[in-house]
Amino acid sequence: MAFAGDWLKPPRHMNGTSFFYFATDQYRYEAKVNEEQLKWGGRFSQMHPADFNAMAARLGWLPSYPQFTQNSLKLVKEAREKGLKEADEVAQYMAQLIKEEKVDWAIEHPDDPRNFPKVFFNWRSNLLGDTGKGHEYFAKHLMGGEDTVLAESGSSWQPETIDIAEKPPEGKVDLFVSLDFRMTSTGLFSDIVLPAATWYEKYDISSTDMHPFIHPFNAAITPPWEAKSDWDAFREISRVFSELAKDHLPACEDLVMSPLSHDTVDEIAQPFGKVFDWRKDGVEPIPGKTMPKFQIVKRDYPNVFHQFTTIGPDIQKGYGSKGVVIPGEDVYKELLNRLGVCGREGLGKGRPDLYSAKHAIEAILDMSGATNGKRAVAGWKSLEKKTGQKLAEIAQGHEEDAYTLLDITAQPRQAISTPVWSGMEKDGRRYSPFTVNTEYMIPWRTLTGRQSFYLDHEVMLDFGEGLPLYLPPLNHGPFLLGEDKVENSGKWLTVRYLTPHQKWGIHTMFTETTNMTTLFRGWQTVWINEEDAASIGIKDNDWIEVYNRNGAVAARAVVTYRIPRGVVYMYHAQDRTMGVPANAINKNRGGTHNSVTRITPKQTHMIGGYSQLSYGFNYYGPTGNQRDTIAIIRRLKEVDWLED
Amino acid sequence: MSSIFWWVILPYIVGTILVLGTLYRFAYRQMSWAAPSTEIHEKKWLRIGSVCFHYGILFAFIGHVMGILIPRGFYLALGITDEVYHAFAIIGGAFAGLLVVIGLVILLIRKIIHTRVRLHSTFADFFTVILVLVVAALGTYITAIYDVFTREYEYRTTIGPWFRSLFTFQPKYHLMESVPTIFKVHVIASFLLFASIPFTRLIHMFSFPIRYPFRAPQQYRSRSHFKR
Amino acid sequence: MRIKTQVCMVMHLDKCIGCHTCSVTCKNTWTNRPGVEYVWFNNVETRPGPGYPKQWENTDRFKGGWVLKNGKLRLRAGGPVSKLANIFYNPNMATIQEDFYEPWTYDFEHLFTAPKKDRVPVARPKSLMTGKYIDKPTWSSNWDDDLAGGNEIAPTDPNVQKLQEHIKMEYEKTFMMYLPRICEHCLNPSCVASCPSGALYKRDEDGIVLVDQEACRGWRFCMNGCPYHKVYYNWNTHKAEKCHFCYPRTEAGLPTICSETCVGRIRYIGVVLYDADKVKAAASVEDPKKLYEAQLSVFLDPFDPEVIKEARKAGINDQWIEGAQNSPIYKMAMKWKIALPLHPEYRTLPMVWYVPPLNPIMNHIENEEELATDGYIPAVDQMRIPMEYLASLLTAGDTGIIRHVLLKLTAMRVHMRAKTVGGVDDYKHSQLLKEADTSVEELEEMARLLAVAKYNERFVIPTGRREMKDDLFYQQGACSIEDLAPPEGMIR
Ligand code: SF4
Ligand code: SF4
Repeated sequence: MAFAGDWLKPPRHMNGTSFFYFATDQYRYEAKVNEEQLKWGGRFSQMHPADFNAMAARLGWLPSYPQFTQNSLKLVKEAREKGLKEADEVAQYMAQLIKEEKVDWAIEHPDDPRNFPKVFFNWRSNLLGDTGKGHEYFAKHLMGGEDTVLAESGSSWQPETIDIAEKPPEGKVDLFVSLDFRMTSTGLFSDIVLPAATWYEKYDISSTDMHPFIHPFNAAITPPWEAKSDWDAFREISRVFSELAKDHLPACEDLVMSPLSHDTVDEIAQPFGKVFDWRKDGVEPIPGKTMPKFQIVKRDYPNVFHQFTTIGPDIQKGYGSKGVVIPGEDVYKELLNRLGVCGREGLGKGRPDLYSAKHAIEAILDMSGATNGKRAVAGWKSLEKKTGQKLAEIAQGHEEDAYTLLDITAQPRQAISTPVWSGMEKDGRRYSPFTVNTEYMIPWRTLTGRQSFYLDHEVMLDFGEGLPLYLPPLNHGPFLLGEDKVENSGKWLTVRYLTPHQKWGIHTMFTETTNMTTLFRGWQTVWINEEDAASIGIKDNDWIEVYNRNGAVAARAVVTYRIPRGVVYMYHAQDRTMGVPANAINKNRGGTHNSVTRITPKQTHMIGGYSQLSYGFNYYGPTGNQRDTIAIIRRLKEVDWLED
Repeated sequence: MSSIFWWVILPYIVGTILVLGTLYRFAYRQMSWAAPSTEIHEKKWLRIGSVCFHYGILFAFIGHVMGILIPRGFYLALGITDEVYHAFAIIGGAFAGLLVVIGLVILLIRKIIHTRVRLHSTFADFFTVILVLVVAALGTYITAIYDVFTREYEYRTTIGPWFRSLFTFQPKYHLMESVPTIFKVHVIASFLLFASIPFTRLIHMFSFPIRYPFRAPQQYRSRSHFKR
Repeated sequence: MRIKTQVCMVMHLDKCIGCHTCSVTCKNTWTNRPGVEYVWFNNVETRPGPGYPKQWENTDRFKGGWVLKNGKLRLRAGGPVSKLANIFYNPNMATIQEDFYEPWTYDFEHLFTAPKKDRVPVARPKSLMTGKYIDKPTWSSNWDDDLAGGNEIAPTDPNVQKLQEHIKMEYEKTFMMYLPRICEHCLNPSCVASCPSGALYKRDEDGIVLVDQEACRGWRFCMNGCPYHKVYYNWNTHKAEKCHFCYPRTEAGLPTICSETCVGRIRYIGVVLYDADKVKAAASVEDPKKLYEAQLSVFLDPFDPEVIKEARKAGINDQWIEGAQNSPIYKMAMKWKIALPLHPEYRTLPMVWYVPPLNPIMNHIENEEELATDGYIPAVDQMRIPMEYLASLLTAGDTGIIRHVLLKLTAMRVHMRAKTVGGVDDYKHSQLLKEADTSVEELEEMARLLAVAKYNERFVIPTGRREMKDDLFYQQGACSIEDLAPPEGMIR
């Protein structure tokens, strides 16, 4: 339901790390890692991360979006015009086009305006105040706002396979829309901020593996003024979109490229962990084998609204995730009963109604094994077939459980154990990973079926990481040679800059209320060892700034003996909406904790198509890596609020 | 006719306001009945100002009791001559008056200059301080300057009997007709001040906790006892 | 014998993670209004540190609590007569600016109204006392959280200043603990005795110390009269306010908000029976180090038939007696003696008890494999938090008591560890057990209450007593309109 799988498959997913690495042009500012640490160095470890990522996309390891510089709707249309009927044929045709280099990989042309993310919809994320690593690059290249990027692409390590424009583009996004009830600084960059209902104004459910409960959210008040719940906001957008689409974007076919994915046969697409690049290693580009899969999806734009507001027919074919399939016939019938039948004229008529958030909640509660015993049993049965073990008993005694929103409103209910998770919540136990694997002999989702310590993939070996090992932090200076043009007459110190999770708060939520900020010292602060501080004339609560080639942040110093010398901590997600003056370097607003960091992609995370090393949405893939970096700290001599 | 207004009608109106107003505040506005201290915002100046003022006003109060409430005959009977009385009254009165005025001036300046104290003062607070200052300044002037340099006025035969007669409901208002203007102004200003008591911070003067030294240090109360 | 009941709390410091959830939920429930911005009925201090308000333990400065003068108990700040003489100016009172902090907020509105500009707008800090912009806050209720401020701040802790041995504040020797604090609801409250108006009182039914908002005249002697500095002056209403142990909740049998929401589940609530006639004598013991024992002597054994008889006579009903029998406080503070009063030397007989934290030891225990039970005894003496420091907080300087409690807690851990994973030598004959003066049964009972006890074991709170002479028939319909409809009725 989340990705409209009941109407069409597959969804078009992209991993955020790679997307932002290219979209914000951070790939232009790589520093070559110090040779010492590369002494295993071979074929892959010497590759520029952007080249590696492009290869990963090309070999079907990672998703890649935008897909091609050419329009994917047009590509299908052309194929059809050539008389290709079957999906397979179209995929073959695509592989041919790619091989002959008649289409361009967008990932290799990130600075072609056709590949810019021109419309950006930011839903409940503080992309530009917290989550986006390398904030100043976001500001510069994606948004075209004030920025304090001090690095120069000229002196940085440049990729080989990526087509680089002379002058890096700035402000790629034309329209930025935010829908986020947490009023963060991302809103300050947005062209449109949609009024969002908060937790106490809407209906919702949540659960996590940190505790065993399914929690409801109930509206204590109606959303004030024009605010809407996320569900309602997206539904209304889909309504208008569908109306406009009638004239401007009729139904058509789309080509969706997707990577070799986790928990499917794709896991054995590239056996033995050997890397064969069809571009140069002489192997054929075969979709779903040596390169991504190409599928055709029917886009029914004028009917998006109806698809949004009803449960689609495909649910009857069964659904599930992580390789577990729950049969859908009965579910569909139950849903018709539980949600009511849609009476709206159009595509959705006669289908289970999904108009409001409450409908969506009931649908989830009905379909998920965690809240419906029948589904849990079905899920375990599905896994029984795969593993040959007796598993259905795990959910035994829960067959009749079918929580409703009213049930969980009366009291949060304990989730039922499902095969989607590896913990056991049976008999009042608390979640702990892999308990079902050890207790019910379910193989681990690895090549060996056991816990794996040795990874024999060529890339892992090339990096010298076939076995777990300690790698010292990357050691490079705050600037590359010739980059540092910051006027610096006073005292300063080069330190390791860390951004651990803050003590109070869930991202930026609620730490910014008056009481919460009073709980400590208000915003923003950076912790520093007192001897370090004294050595550069910083006293407790003095204004300071931290900067390096990625940018600068202005804050106040918290001086202590509790942390060792040589490091400073800036607790993450303080955001710069409150109490942040200008930096001294270029008199811009002193940034966020992510102003001095950048995305550091790790190539070994990009491996795909090889057993557990296969991409899975929100499951397995590259992360931005930790924000451990080297920076300079010094006193901020004067405080300028930039108020004139 | 005007003297009936000033020395009969006005005092009774003020008396009525004072008594009814205080009762009203006691019965319905207990929550606002407090000594609205600003010590939490500022201590240094309060220390001098408040102590001067409060002790001054206590002395002044005793002085007024001695001069207005206690008849002249009482002193004569005790063998205290008018000269001795006046010498004593002028010295004591001037001292008390100066304490009050100095204290008030400090408090007023503090109220104006100290931001937090100013922001947390209401109109009534300023009104009170200024009015008390006017009354006190007049009083001090009368005692320390008028009585010494102009003439020694024997208020114990005019103002005193008139004031006491208010309580017997036989107001001898004509006694006030011959009183020097400056005294009249002092008296009228005081009456205005009295009328404002139920509505200002001055109300706290009625709750001087005189029973405190006599009660047990620990207080136990039952919930129901307390909540009536 | 004059039996009274008292609700108390135990805080098990070993489990406090310093999250301040208790402070925040308390603040949001009770002091989220003008006049009390600076007030935190519940606050959590990082120790070593000056606390909130700054250096509240400095009795020379604030003169809180009681002292013994010629064998007689006197308020340190002076008795009634000297109070009346000082009524126009209280020399020992704290100010918001110097001792608490200037509360602030941010100009959030600006983020919405700022004109379109090149630079991101920012909400500047603004004083809640003056409404004016400030450049940066300079102190707060928790400015020194997690040793923030380092050597500039931590050594101002009055307990540190009292220590015989000079302790070094440096990275390798860092020690730290959290100290959550509420009003102690003392048996011999000096705040009550300091109040000229008699507005502060101790409730008969449960011993909760309250300020009668109608009787308070704002004389402010309670503020510093309380040695824990837990009475606050509301500058808006000009009246005193303090923690009231969430009595609307406890009367309904619910724990206080701070306890309900405590993430570490460090808090326990229960009732105890005590003899009010013994309070004065217990507070008047000469040697401060004997005060802890004296304090224990006022409590009555709720299982003693004599006590039960007397309690019934005093109007205490069976549910409360049963509550006292099942009270987790009775177990921890009186029976096992692992919970200690905070600063007993203030002689107020505080009713919030603290189980001292076990803490990492300074050096590595070598050869852990062979570590015998008794190897843990020296470990107790090498813990990072100086025992003297804990003693200065909890036992008026008697390290013997602290050591004993730590040994007992260690014994509990060693035993439970042995029970689940084995590996310790024959426990029953060990020196540790002897030195800790405990038994295996007791340790297991302790482990249950300290580690796994569920809600209804941690909070044993009998619902409020209503057998007094209330006009309940009237009250059941009148609560929220009392102002409009006086309880005595319009006609009566
Ligand atoms: S801790 Fe509470 S009861 Fe004890 S003196 Fe202070 S305010 Fe009073
Ligand atoms: S909520 Fe509990 S654990 Fe958290 S700081 Fe308060 S007392 Fe400690």
